[in-house]
Amino acid sequence: MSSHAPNGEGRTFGRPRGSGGAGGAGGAGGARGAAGRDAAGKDGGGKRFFFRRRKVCKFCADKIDYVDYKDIKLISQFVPERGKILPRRMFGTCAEHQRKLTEAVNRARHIALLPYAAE
Amino acid sequence: MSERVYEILFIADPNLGEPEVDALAAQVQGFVEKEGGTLQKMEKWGKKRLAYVVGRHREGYYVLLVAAGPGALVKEVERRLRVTDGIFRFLTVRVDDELRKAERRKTKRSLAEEKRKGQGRPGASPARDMEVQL
Repeated sequence: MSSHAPNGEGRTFGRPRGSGGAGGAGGAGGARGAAGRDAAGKDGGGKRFFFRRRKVCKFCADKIDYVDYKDIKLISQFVPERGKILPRRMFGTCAEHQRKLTEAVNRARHIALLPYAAE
Repeated sequence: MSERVYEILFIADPNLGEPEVDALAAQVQGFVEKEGGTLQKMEKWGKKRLAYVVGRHREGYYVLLVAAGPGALVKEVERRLRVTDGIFRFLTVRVDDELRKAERRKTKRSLAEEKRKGQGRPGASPARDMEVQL
């Protein structure tokens, strides 16, 4: 439901939690989607309301149509130190751009611009 | 349609001097032209640190070539790159399609934006007519 919400520009919105009270940090994990989990983690477990920022695909927002493997500056924003490609839920990239990003990262890795794994 | 654009990026031994790398690049250009391709661009990035150790190299000399030619060109050029001393890694990527798509999208978007502003020209040419300038 909430994942199909119209494209709000990164505004925050709260969602009331059930009045169970027993649900601590672990219980927050039951919220829909990883974004909710992240927000809950930052807030700490005990709150009844938590806020979730809507993530917008950076590539869509910046209107990048071609994800260039040579543009390390851009790509490395989405690849942490460790060298792994993180799942979409971490950055909110849309499916199409995540796919293109993966392709670009793999090319960059082959040509030793990005690491396969941290040393 | 048979003309395609490829990016050939290769890494040369960093122990080679500038003139030797130039010679290598010229050599690769020769491969391309022999197969009926034309070189559109040559870019030397210079010595860069590699993200990981390749063979025993920690850094490498990056050279980027952009070439247009038939698809058969890639096979031969790659074969030759493989046997060329001094080049220890290369990557060939076909770029014309992707860039054309990106370009098309860009024009589409700007057209849509114009329309949204209420200044859209009804007789605007379709985005498909756009050709990538390389």
